[in-house]
Amino acid sequence: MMMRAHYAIMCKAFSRNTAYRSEVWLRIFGNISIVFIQISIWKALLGTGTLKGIDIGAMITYSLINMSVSMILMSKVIYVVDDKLKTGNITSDLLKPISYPLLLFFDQLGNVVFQIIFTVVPTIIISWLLFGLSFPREPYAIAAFVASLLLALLISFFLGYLIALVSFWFLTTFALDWMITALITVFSGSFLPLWFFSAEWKFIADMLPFQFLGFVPAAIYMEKMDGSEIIWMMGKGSMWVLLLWCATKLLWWRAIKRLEIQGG
Amino acid sequence: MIQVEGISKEYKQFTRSPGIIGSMKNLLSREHTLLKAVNEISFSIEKGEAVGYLGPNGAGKSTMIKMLTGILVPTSGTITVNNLVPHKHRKEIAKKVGIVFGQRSQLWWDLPVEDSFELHRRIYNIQDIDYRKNMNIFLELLNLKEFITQPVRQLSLGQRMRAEIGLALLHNPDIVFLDEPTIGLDVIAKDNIRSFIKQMNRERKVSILLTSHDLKDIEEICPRMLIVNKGELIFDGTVDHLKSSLSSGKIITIEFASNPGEYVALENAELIADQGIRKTFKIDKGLDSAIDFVQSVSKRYPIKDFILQDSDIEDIIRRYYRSLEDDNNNELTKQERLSVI
Amino acid sequence: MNIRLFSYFIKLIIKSRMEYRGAFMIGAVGQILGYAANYLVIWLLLQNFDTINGWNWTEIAFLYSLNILTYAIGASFTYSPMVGLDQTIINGDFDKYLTKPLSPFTYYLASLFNIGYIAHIVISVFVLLWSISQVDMGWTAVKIIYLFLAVISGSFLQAAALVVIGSLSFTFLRVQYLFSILFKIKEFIAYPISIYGTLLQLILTWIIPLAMINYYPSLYLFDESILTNKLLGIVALVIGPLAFYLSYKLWMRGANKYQGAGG
Repeated sequence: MMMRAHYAIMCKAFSRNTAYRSEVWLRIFGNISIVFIQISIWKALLGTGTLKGIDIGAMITYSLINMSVSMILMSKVIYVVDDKLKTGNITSDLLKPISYPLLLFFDQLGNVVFQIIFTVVPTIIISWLLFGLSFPREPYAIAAFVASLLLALLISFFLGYLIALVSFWFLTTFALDWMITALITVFSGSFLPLWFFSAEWKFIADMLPFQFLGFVPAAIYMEKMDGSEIIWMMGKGSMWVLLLWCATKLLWWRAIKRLEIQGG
Repeated sequence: MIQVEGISKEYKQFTRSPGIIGSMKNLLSREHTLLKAVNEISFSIEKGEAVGYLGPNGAGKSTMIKMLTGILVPTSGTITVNNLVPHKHRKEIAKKVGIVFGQRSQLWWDLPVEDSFELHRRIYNIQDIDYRKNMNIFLELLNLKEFITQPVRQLSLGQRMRAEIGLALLHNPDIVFLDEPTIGLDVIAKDNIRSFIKQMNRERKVSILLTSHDLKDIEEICPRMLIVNKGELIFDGTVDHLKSSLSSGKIITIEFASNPGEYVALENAELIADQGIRKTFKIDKGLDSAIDFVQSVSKRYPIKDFILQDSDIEDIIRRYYRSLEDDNNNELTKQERLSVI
Repeated sequence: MNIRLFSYFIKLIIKSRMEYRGAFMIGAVGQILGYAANYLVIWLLLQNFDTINGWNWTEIAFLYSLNILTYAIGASFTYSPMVGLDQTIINGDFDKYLTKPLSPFTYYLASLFNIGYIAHIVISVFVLLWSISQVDMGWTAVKIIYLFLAVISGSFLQAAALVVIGSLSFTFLRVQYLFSILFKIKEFIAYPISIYGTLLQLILTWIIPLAMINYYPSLYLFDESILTNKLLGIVALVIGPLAFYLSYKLWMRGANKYQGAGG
């Protein structure tokens, strides 16, 4: 029964996206532009050489995987919550017999499925034809890659949701979004891989959850991590999910109290 | 002052798919239907006249106001306001015209009311003397002084509308267009606004074109009214004239000597209230037939007394609209959608 | 609309925004952090490689700041009005801008001027001045005037891009996505365009002349002794106002179409 409700929410979000399907080509064009810019930079920097064992071919794959992962991140959930708070729709959501974060998650998942089918896959295929792309050979890498994507989904969702909850106390969501985007820009490694970070910056990146939103999936995909490393990373990522989940629980609980005081 | 001759406004409605690519597709195959929001309307308004402009939703009222102010360009026909063509001389016209959109504010939400007035002073380049003179009048008559320093977001709807009307009249316009100026207000606020408009009309000879759902507004302010439906002008005359020509139904209450019982149908009369010996009828004809009616009744049943009254204007027009709307429901929804574009 | 009236609008807008001072300050901090992150990534990148196509960190910082600064100035005037235009039209609020004895273009822009970009301006000017202090550009009076004019011209060009997309709102139902495409395409000029192929360089110079915003002015300032640098540097000063004028014409055509004049 519950599963069916979740599935329905997902489908609804998916079909809401189909209204924008005529814009899909522009979206793909935009993505390929970004990949192209990044590849051009790496070509200028690396030329035919390598740095720390990374050559231009590897960076092409890295850029493309990161672009694709960034398309399915859920951190923009912050605006969904914000809209609902402003319009007062949140109260009707709270009355539904389904937990609010789950509802949000499946709503976002509907978007993600749409993005994968209509944006990510075409972007990858076109970029593959234009720039080339290498694929993982080991089955374990593929399995680990899929698992790391799941972690990326969850962590980005909880981060966005957490920020949305924090914005209960501030009047502005966009400023908080800017800040979280800033952190993602640097520490997810989505443009500059953590391999190229100096020791102290690498240390900071390792302490934060953002590397799971770009660097980790790409590194696994490119088979730059061995089995034990992957297990360690997965464990660490799961800890982050748990930690963020607890944090949202706590904030949610306080936000509800606040909502009740405000009278919805 | 205002001359409108044979004005029409057609909208092309494209069958379009959403989004940019969809729109591009539509650019290649231009399939559209023509919708006439305003159809061959002519009228003129003299200086100092106050005219009510009525019609059901989607009748083309706001389209007409937009053409008169130069916001929209008519498809055919000619309009002159102060001897100028509005859309060609939009800026000159704007100096001579004041507009109040009941549902769109000109005020700055987060700022004290006085800042919006000061901005208007600068936009219209109003001389200091005129500005001070008008402000003194408005502070009193519209009672702006009680909230002029408060941010607009803290005002009541009635206070806000008073400020809007003050703004519209600040630059001494010759004509004021009022689109639903009393919408959502309580009785006292409405009275205040009506008497102010009346006073401005009388003392400053400001011409007024008023649209409103509240017929009291029109009855009190405007001696003359124009009624439009489906884009066409169907009535132009005084309120009294409307009463006698459109449907001067009479309400007759007869007090019988004894209860005539379940009443037998009388031709042309409708029983609308039955309290035994007091029965109220409505007949659709004028005064003469009302007297005939009473006479024919009194021949058959002894009556003690009767009261004759006009059905009020609101009732007349409401009924009139309703019959129109029933006929044209489909058409209207189409036009309503259009008014968004 | 004259400058005095325009500045009165800005005064009112500042007053409005200061009603929500806290939100404004948090917003400013957020934007500064956001851009600081972008600078940081480039800096980290250049820790590994020293130069991109011969451009070192300070030169890239200069190039990048020029882009942000001109964008911030241009967007102050045009971002909010243009991004909101399609909704304004759909809601019927656009009529308001046609009821005053003012050009709808300037009235609409003035009404929605966005002072929020002050944070962009602060960080970009800060980095710009820092990079100027680091690179020896052989400053002369002419170069100082040139930089000043280049910022103005670049701001016009940035504004023009937003106005062009905004004016499509009059024709199409929704243009929101075109704005995000614009921001992606603008990423091309975050780095020296010499890293791209010849064709793309030509496109970015002459067809979508984004390189005129920061690349050619930077080349001129770094080394004006090369003839092409000098010529394109001068073209860069002209192209901004020209593009803005054309975008204004396009917008006014859209507004006319909205009014139903021969459209």
